[in-house]
This record gives sequence, structure tokens and C-alpha cells, in this order.
Amino acid sequence: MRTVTRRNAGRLEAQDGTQNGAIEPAWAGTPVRPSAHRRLASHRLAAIGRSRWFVVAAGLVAVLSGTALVLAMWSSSATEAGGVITTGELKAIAGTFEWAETTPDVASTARQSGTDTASLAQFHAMPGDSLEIRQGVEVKGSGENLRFDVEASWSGGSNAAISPLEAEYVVTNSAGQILAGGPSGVSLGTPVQIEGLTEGQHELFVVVTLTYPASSDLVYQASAGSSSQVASLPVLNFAAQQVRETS
Amino acid sequence: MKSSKIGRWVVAAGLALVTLAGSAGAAWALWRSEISVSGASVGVGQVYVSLIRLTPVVRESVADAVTPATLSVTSTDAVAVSTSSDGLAIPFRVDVKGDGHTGVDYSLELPNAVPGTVAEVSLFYLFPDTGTCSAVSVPGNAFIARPGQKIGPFLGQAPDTSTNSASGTKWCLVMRLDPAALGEFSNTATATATGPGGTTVTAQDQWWAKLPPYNPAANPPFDLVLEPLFTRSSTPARPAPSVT
Repeated sequence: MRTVTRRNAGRLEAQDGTQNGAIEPAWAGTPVRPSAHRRLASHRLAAIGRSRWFVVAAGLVAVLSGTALVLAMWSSSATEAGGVITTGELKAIAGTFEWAETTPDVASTARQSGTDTASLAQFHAMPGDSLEIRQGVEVKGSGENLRFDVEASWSGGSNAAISPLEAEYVVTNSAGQILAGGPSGVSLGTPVQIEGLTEGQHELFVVVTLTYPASSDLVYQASAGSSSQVASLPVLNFAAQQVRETS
Repeated sequence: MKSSKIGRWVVAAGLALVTLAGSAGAAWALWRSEISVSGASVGVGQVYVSLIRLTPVVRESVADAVTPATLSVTSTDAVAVSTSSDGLAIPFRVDVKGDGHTGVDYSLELPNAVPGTVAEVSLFYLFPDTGTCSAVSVPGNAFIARPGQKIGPFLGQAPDTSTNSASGTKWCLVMRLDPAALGEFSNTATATATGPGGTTVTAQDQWWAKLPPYNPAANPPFDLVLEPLFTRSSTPARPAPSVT
């Protein structure tokens, strides 16, 4: 709730739209009548010369008092329910995660896939294999005359961090259209930026393509058992920044 | 007085810049939101190839694509082969693993033997060890090979992603002297005598032997070499194993 006070000359409307009608003025001037003092002074006017200035001053007071009536102010107040001031918002949240094998020499029915990082860690990439990892990011921005930019970057590593695998990535929209990094992708660790997204909600995907070159040497284990070597992707940082759009 | 004029100019210039920025397409940040996504990692597949002699236990694992795993027939083995008509039985196991879509086939190769050694004059019988590896009971369908020949290919592990642990196959290798390759020695003795009645008596005997032309105790090692072949599902179908 907030109180709104409005001063008008002669009439007051409450903020909630109802008319108060003729509200009694908070203060209203009363016409000044000639006083007894004034009548007595007129009889002595000829005898007392400096009394003329007093009469002039009294007349000015009377004129000024009349003017004050014209400038009378109205004051009132009304209370209304507080409105929400929308100043815009920006959110970026991690969306779905999925991965799928794209190894060319493996039949599509034999390719592996998953929807969580645990299943991806269980996949054992061998020379000749390739994978596609999709990390969804939902970005929502609102506000007048606003647009927003997004940037995908990686901290703590690059392609060297996932050796012997190689990686490239792009940022796409939900329709698969490449918005940044295309057409062939950029190396892991290289930041990309998408500028000028319009207001609203956008579902973006950071699509990482992992490749284990077929020409790579096999990694031999010294003893039997499960493989312990893993290639960890660097941390994906996704930043959305809303900017004032001017023309 | 002078400083107050300068102050006015600074204020005016600032206002002008703000006005220009607002009308010339400049943009400035209002809100920023960031997220970090981590934790994704991929297993890097590996291979494992090992040849293990079971009596006595000697394991040789392949460490790279250059150095093979071998099973050595020692001078002690050479002596054992030479002193038994049945030869010597050597049980061994082949362990292989290929992660992901990589499979492993393998062959067993008998290199050319050093001349004058037991290996040179031996036959090698290879058959799956179903429980008892014995030189006495060599099955009729055993692979028979000589030095310089290769036996295989055999399936070690199929190229599928269902198995990421090693698969083992036990084999029995019987090494037996090849009679055809041994040196043959024969001797015939004839004795003739005349008896008291003037009767001539003649007796004849002979013996022969095939003797290895070597000293088994001084034989250099002879290696059975495991030769892995890594496969993918796109690899052509593996032929039936044979001796080549």
C-alpha cells in the first residue's frame, strides 16, 4: 500500500479514481472587513500625517488577503494497492543432458547413448569412436528495450585436458540451428558469444563433439581389470548478460 | 572562480556523453546470470593382452604395439621333450580385453627355430585345454604345426560394448620330437661260426635309433609368440582357424 497525495486547485481526485466531490478546504481565507481601528483613523486623518502610511499598509493587507483566497490549495489523500514495478529479469539454468554415440563404423542399433553423466563415464571410447554430448541451457530474459548476449566458455582445461580425445563444440537452438561456433565447431576452451537474443525464453544447447582419432595408438593395460583412465571435460561456464538496446 | 568553471564543463561533458551514448546505439549491461556445468567425463578404453604359462606360472603382458607376448620353451623343457616319447605338455592361457567397440582376435606363431635345437625337430600340437593338459592324450583334431608356422586366428573377445573385462582361454601345447626330423642311426651285426660238425652257423642282428642332433641341456629358448589382432564390428569376418 502506498499513499498518494495530490494537490489541485479546487478539486481533488483520489488516486483510486473515486471523486471526493466538494471537499471542505483545509484552510480558506475569510474576507477582511474594515476594522474599528480603520474608522477611528479616518476621523483623525488630517491631524496625524503619518497615519496615511498606516492606511496604505492596511489596504495592501486587504488586497493581499483577497489574493490568498484565489490561490487556496486543496489537499487530500487516498490509499491504493501497491503495484509491481517490473524492471526486467534474466535467468540462466542448466537444462537437460544427453549424449549419443556417432561412431561411423558402428551400426546405429549398436551405438550407445544416455541421459546422465554416469552413463557417459561408463562408456569406453576407443580409437575410431565419436560422441555427441548435448548440454541444455535455458535462458530467459524480459524487460523493455532489452536484448541479451550469452557466452559459453570452459574453465580448467581445453582439448589438451581430454587427451587422447579431441573435442569441438557449437551452440545451437532447440531446432538444431547453429548459433555460435559453426559450422565446424571451435576447440574446447575457446569461448563463443551469441549476441542480440530477443526478449523471452530460449532453449540453447552446447553441443560437444568428442572424437577419438582412429589413427591413435591403443592404450595397453599392464594388468587385467577395469579401465581406470578417463577424460574429464572442463567445466562449462554459461553466462547470459542483458543489455540495454538503443538505436 | 576558475575551478568552478572547470567543474561546470566536466558536468556538461558528462551529460553530453550520456546523451550521445543513449542515442548512438551504445549498450550497457543491466543484469548478468551465470551457471557452471561440470562432472562429465568419458572413459578412455584400453586393451589387455597377456600370455600366461601355467606350469610354472610365467605371465607376459603386451605393453605396446611393438613388443609381443611370448611363451618360452627353455632348455629344461628341451630335456623333457627329448626324454619322453610322448613329449612335453605345456598348459597356458591367453587373456585379452578390448574395451568399447574393439575386439581382440589372436594367432599363435612358431618362429623359425635355431638349427640344431629341439624346436627344430619338434612337432607342436595345440588344442583347447578342457581340464587336463597331457602329452599322452592329444586329441585327433589338434592343430599340428612346425616352427615357422602360425596357428589361428582365434576369437579372444568380440567387438561389442557389453564386456569390459578380460576373457581367458586355456590351451594345451604339446611339444613332441618329430621322428621324421631326427637323425637315424642303424647298425647290423652278422656273426658266422662253424660248429663241431662242420655246420656253419650264422646269426645277424641289427638296431637303429633316431637321435636328436643336439644337446638339449644347452638349447637356447624357443618362443611361442602371441600375435593379437584388434577388430571392430566393421572388420571382415574372421576365417576359420588353420595352420599356415
